[in-house]
Amino acid sequence: MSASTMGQAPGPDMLLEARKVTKTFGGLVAVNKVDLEIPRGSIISLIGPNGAGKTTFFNVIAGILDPTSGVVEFDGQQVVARPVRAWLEPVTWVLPAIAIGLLGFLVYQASAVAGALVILVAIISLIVMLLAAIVRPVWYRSLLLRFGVFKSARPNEMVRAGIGRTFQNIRLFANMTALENVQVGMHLKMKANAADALFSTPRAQAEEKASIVTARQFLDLVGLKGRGGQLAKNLPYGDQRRLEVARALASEPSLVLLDEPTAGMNPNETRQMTELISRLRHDLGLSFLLIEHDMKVVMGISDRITVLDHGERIAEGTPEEVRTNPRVIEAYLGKPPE
Amino acid sequence: MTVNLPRFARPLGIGAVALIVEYLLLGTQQFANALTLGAIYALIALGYTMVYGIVELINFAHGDVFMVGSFLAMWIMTTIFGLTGPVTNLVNLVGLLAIVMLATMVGMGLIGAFIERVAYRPLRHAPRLAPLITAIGVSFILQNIIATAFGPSPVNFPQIVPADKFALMGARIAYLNLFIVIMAVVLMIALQVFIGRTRLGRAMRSTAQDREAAELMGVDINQTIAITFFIAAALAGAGGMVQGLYAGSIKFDLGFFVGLKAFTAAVLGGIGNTTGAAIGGFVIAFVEVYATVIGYTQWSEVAVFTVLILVLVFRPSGLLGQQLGERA
Repeated sequence: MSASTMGQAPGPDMLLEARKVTKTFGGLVAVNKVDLEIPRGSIISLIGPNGAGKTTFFNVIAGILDPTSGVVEFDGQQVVARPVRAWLEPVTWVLPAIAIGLLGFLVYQASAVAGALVILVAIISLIVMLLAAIVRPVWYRSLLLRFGVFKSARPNEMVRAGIGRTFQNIRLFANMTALENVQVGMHLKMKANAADALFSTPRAQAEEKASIVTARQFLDLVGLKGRGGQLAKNLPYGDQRRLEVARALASEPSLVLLDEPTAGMNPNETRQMTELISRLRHDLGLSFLLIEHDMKVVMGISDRITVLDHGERIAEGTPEEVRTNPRVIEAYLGKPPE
Repeated sequence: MTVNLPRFARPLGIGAVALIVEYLLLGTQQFANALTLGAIYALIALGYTMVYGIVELINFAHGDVFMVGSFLAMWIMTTIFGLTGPVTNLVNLVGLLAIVMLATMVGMGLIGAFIERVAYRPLRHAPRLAPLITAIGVSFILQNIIATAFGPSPVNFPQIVPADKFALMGARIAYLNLFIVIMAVVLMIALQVFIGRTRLGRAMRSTAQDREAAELMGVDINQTIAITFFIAAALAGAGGMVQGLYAGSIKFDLGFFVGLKAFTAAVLGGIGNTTGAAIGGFVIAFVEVYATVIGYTQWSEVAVFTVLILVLVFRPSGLLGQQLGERA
């Protein structure tokens, strides 16, 4: 099974690097210049009071939301705000300069001095943009983002790049069996196309059979052995959460985003989930990014913790550092009376 | 201990009961007619229900896609193969039917996917009323294209299947009826297998249940929705071809009423549910034929749409539509 090798592909040590990610909704700054680094094979937690922008930041990384500005590099390639129309990139800054230059040429017919001035403006704007691209690439990219030259990868492309995720409120395909849910997760790993389906080629049949075997292995991996035939909606709550993890693993990601994986669980289920995450990291070399409210879970399994409050990163460090950070305590408990 | 009925037990049971009741009420001869008509309705109803299931759009242009399908089949037969009358050689006949059907289905599938691309995809995030009105616009466009190209009066459809009949339990049934029913059943079984057992079918079901979650599991929803429209239009194309063979002549506005009846069938079966749509098609055809049998031919459409109203009032989720309640 390829699961044993996943997450260990050679690549940069830093699996995910988010730089100055900003997301505004109208006038509201939901996430403000947040940096985040996820080293390969680590468990990183994102915590913060309600409304701190955790889920927004999470959705930017998962490709659901386009950031207003900022860049996210995953596995050495740019996933958020990457050029989709690369040929447009030079055009966006050359074209205004040319336009101003033409205007200057027209003005030159009437007044040589004014025309020369306008042409000078054109040349300066060209140089400014060029400098910006070199000196302030982040600013430059967010500018292009606004022009639609750069765009985020679509969520399904994020999955192809190697990011899997689970949801805060369970979003399984309720009327499909557990096994089928996992098979949907394997969608990108399978190749059968419409023609294969139409003529039921041996290749497609073999792949379908193999996918059932692999899906069972993923179910076993999260402790749902023998539950594959049940409809997802009929599974107990804790099992549904685990099925979500299995479905996310099925796309063979190197980074798994877990949105409150233990929300609504009893202490026993929480412990099992925590163990599962540690085991997956250990056995499969996966990296995890968690949003979690249960501090026991967060302090127990995280390598590093990033704390958000009002859209800004107020602390980053090991669980010990974060626990004792006065700004974090203040964000959670409020300012002590003076 | 829970009784673990296979998931297809309930639809199969409902379908079997419906067929038996139909047979007892109609007798063999009219039952054969009802089955044939039902097969055509079912093929169209499947398209309504699949498209609704995945994008929650009542595709009011679907009846006209069916109509275009019958004109496309007619054009292929007359212009490409030069057919006008019956083909008596059995091998030739089967081969021709297969080729024409395949060509019609592929052609219509491409047209359906094209309509989705230009008319519905740009409106995917618009309020739900917008694509609905666009669908009505597409319906008019298709009707007027055909009326311009083939004229507004009925066009003869080449009757390539000989009108021979065989005796069965005291009735005389045309081979054409047999062909239509068998073809429809084969297509429906193929569709069920496709939806139930293949990668793309799973992608369709997952997209129908939770589009965003499906996308985050790596499903390309644009492609999946395009495939859905392709299949829906291909089935309607097959239906259009057999409608032409069955009725003998076709007209540019033929899609309107047939489309409405098939829509009724889809609602009756539980819109969004493919098995339900198939059963609904046969039930609607039965109501129509039964109205004729008891002497109320001109009331048959009233009967059909009364069924629509009754279903909408008393069982809005249809016979098998338990999925709808969860999503809505």
